[in-house]
Amino acid sequence: MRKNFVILGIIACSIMTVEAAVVLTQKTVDGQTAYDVSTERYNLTASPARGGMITAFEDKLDKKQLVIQKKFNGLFMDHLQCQYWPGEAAEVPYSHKLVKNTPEEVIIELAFTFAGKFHTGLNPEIKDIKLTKKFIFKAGHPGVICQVTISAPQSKSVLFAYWQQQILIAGGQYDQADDFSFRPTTRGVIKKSGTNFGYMGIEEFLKDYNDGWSAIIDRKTKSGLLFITDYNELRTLYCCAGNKTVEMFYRPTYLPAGKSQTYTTYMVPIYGVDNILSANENVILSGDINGHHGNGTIALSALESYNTAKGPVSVDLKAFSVETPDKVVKVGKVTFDKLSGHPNIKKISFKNVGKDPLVFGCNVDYSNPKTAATDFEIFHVGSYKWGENINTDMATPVYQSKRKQPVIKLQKPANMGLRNIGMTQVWFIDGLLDDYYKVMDGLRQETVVRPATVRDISFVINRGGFGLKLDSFPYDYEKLLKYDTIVFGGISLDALGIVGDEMLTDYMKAGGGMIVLGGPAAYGFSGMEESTTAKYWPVEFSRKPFDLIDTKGAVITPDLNSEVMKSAVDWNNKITVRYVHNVKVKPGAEVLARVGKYPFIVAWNHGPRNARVVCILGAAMGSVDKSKGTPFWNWSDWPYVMRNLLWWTSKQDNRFK
Amino acid sequence: MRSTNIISFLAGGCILLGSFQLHSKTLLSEDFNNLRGSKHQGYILVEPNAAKPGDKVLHFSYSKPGFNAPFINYGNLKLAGKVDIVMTIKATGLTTLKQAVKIRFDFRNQKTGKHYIFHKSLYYPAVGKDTFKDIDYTVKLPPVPAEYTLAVLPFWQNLNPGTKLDVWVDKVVVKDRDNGVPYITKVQLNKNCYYPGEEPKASITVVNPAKSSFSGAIDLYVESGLDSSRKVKAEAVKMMPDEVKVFEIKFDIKDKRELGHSLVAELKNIADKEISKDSRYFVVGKDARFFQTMNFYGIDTADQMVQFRLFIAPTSESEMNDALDYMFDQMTTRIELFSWSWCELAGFIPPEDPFIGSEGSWWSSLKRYQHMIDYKNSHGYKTVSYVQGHAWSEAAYRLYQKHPEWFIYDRSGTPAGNYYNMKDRNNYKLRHGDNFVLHKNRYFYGLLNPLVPECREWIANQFFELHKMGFTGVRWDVWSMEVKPGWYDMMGNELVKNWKEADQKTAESIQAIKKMVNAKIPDFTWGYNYGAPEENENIPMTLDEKCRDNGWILDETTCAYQLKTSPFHIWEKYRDRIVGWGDVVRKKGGIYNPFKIGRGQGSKYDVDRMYVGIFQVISGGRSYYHYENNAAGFGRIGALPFRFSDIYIGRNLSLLPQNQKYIKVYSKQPLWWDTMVHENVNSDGVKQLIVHMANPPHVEELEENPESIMNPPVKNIKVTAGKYKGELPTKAYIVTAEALKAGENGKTQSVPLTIKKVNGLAEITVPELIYYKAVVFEYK
Repeated sequence: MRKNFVILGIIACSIMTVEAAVVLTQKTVDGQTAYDVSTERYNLTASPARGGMITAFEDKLDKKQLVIQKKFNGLFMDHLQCQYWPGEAAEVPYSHKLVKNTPEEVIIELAFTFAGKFHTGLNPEIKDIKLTKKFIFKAGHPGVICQVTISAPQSKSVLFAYWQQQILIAGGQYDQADDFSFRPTTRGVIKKSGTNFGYMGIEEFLKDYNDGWSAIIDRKTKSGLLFITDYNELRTLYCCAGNKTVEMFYRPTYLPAGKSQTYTTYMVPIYGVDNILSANENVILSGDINGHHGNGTIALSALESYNTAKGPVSVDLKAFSVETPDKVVKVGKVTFDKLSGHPNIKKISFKNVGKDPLVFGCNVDYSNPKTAATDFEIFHVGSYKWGENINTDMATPVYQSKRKQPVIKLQKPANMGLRNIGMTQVWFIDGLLDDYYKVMDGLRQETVVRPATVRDISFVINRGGFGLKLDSFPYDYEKLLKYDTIVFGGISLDALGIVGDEMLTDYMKAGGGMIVLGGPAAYGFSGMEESTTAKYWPVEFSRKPFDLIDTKGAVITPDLNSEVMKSAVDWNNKITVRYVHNVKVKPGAEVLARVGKYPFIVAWNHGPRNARVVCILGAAMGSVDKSKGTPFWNWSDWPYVMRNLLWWTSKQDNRFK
Repeated sequence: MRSTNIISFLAGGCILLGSFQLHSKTLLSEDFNNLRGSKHQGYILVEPNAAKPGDKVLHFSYSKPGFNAPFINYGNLKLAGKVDIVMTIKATGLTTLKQAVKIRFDFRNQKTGKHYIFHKSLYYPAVGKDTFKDIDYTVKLPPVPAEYTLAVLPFWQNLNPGTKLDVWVDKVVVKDRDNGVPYITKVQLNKNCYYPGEEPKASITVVNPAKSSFSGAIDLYVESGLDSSRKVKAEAVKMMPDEVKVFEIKFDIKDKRELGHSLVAELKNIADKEISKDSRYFVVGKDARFFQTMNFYGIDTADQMVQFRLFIAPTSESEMNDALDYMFDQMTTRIELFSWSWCELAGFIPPEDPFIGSEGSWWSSLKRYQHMIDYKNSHGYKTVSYVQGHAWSEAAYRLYQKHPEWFIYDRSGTPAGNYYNMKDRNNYKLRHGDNFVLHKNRYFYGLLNPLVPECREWIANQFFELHKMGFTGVRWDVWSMEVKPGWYDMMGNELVKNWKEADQKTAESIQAIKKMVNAKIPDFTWGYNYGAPEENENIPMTLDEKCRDNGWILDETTCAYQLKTSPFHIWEKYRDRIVGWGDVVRKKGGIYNPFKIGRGQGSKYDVDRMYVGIFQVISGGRSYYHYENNAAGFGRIGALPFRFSDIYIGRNLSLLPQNQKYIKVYSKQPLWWDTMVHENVNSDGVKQLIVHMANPPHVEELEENPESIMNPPVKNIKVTAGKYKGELPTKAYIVTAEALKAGENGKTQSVPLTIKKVNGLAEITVPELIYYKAVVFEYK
């Protein structure tokens, strides 16, 4: 028994020796308090007076100062996205307190309340939002934890989008050609220096990220910093000028009054590797692949991450050629028995995988039942002529992995019903060619009767490689639930994002009205078939683009038993359409108008509170021979059809009496 | 300060600066000897001239970039045409090429208030380091005499902090060409390029300063090729006392060849004695683009932004007219209205005026553009419209709505071009409101499917509209009828399956549009981007079709060759890439247009701009940006292909391989020449061998020579020519834009050489090569 105590004592002493204490020293800089923190791995300075940033950081392994000692340089710089850079929280004093100061752990808490004003710009929507930032430094851990909590005031709900910026110089000096940023995407890890941005350009905003980390590493010194955050909360991974910053832009978030949202970032210094393939709180993996035509060698390196996995970590690799994705070849497994701040390198060969480019699927097992296995992919160009994961058109990827579906937890008001405030409120998503549906003309007819009608328009913007976006979205449930009808023009699921999709689904559940327009960005072109919102639509449609059928100018036949179709409208003239979307009408839905065998307008009541949804399947485009009739968008009564649909979807049935 | 004003004296027979001045009158001679105190203008030291007792000199020192106050400010100078300035000067801290300090001459017309500004950079060895030397400078003022105020001041360049640079000025002399008898103040032509057989009209401005009437004649000569001159007109002239007269003289060129020339006007008195002479270049050819080699600016051009006055809307009409005249006098023969239009291929010409043009960037005036085009066409330019290749904004949006089947789509089903912005479209609708704020964006981008016959017809019709406006050609940029794998039609059918098919279909489409347009407008010309070898590896048919029949081929990738990652970052590689590819494009029938390195202002350092100019000229490259530096003796290299077109851009030129056996060059100092030897048959049918010789760069990489250090001039170069097609050469010439000797001003000229026959070879000697010279051997 005594012997056991001795052994335990030796182990305890060993741990104390290995896990050197965290040492905190307060100092005064320009009359303001700053905190110097030292651990076995790093020295840093946290400066409350400078926007609560870490204003100096030195990894004891490479002994380089990674922060330029000038204003507006530092780690964990806070912004809200509605304010242009640097925003009101940068380089201003934060309140601060030392929450914990023990050899095992030091916690510093900093706080700032937004005024909603920066220079001449006013942002009343963020006034009184409180930002609380905790820096947690633990003995035995190589990095830093930063927790930022955004709190809505007690008196009002808020909509905000947090943005955290890391401005650093890997290797201790800025090197345009040799400092690289690394960000994970469905196209592989995107690596950019400050020059030669490649065919895909600088790609500052990455939207197809598929994990929550970013890093900057100096290729020559093989050192830098890695930041890991919650993938589910991200909006984009940004990197300024290729390699000057890495920045997490989080998605717009709605907070009911008095509620909070926390963002956690782990920062881990990197030493001994010149790239990152995969990273999480438990392990960091780096590596190189050499080989062509399906044969070669992979050298994988593993580094400890923030949590320092205690047991062995193994990586099981399988590979396939992009040309033959179904032909998966087992490569083998490499195991790293012990992780440290220095890379542990293992090599493994692969043979007969197929023609380049190749994809290596990696499954990481932590030999710890509490840590779930993780997966990542490595894209290897090899001898593929076009390089850089691009197709012969120099724009689209030759391979893209499926993006992990983020898991979100929205904060929602207790009352999720429509607000029904007594005047018609319509939100119009105006996409490509949607103005030809004359939604506004329809609304003008509405205005004659109810002058207090509210018409909000969000415009669709297609930004090339970044895809579609909306210039605004009612992320505030209070606003969204006031709408009687949403006119859903050409917008993609990607642009709505998972938050938009979930909020629109909530809107449908609340019994909202929706008119879905057709056109070149609608239905099959939109990717909406995979959304939960579209489950409330009365039609099924393709998951792929090019779902339009050329009718050559067929005549539309309305269901004249429907008041919605016939009220104040004369269908006796030949009204035509050129293109219709190829859809399947869901059971229970009503076809209000047809074009031959194809539905033109379909409607239904659906969901727990009878949401009313109309799908217009005709696209307002193309030429129709005059002899065949008048295209619906040129027809003088079409605005009245739109008006009727607006009335019906907003449940103003009395209009038809 | 006292100056010797209006001191008339005859400087009989002196020839300054390559002009033909016979006499001159000194209007201002300032030696600073009457200055009192030790400082002038608060910053200039007044010091004794150690080498000349009793003489005073001004001493300036560099402290920061920019201008200092004038050290000469003098009024009531009656001037017209060319004015000669001689400064007696020395300096320490200069280099042979890096811009450090310029002397600025600001002539202000006392009546109109208009300024005419000229710069003169100071370099060694033109400027003495230890002893004062005279440096000469000739400026051109308007041809009609007027009274001017002249301010002279130093203009310091942006030098490294702590740079030690001192300039001493002993004397400044200003002279005009008035010696009391009539003199020519301007030779002007109505065009820069004449169609073969067209009759040029010369305007010769003559000033008679005498108090008596004058009778005499103006003889016109046309100089062509390396040594040909013929009289084309003799016109009697009569002038009243104190009269200024413009003589409009038409003449027959008597030469329909595609060739550069010089018109020389000689004013003769009644005794048939030449009393004044001046000249001007011009060219003859069916396609003026062929001769676009003269640069817009030299390093001493005071305003380096003139071209933008033709492009940016805030320019006033008078600024635009000045810019047009400037371009004309710079011998521009091709002008491209860049990105000016309303909606590009969806509709170049707007239905309203003013309109939002230039890629949605600013309000533009159709009337103003029309005026510019009319001016250019009437002055012998080829006026070409830039074609970005997309259909965009309002007209494209409407066209897309009407004919979505005409457009190309990417694999996501989005119109290729992949950009639209409904917010900007909404904003555009509000453009006539007082509160309208321009978003400066095109709001829809689409590409027309060139495989659809209706699209080809549409595009051809757009070019017909351009032609109605006065454009006689187009230059495509981002898209020029291409199809690629990964592009689809509206129904989701891929346009082509692979690059081979893409090449074939693209070439067919280009050919088709050319055929449709040229069937109605035979002289309508074509130009393209993506003319680099690395951009054409997999599309040979497309390149052939682009080059065919004078396709203007922009080789734009060269703009990034200064980057260390470029394989052409080494001068030797760059040289052979440019000269070699120029030969390929020429042989395919194209007009080669290599881009300068760097964008905007070009390379960072003068030495790089200079070498780029040299190799581009040797390659047969057309450009607006060939380097010009007369003060450093480099001259106007772009004038070489313009004036001696056979030697540089002739259609029969062919680059010989490095191991050719005909020409050998011997030099004790390093010299580049062996990859730059052309064979040629000139427009007279004379066989020629041309060897281009360049003083090798001091630093082997591009943009690694911030001080613009040059190797010393190469002296006594021996060049031998053996038998070519069985014969030895009978004539030899140096062709040069640079000075014959370091320290002199550059001059564009051909100089006959004496051939010695040694060991069965023809041998000539080039006494000195500073930067670049060519030697031409002729075999008759």
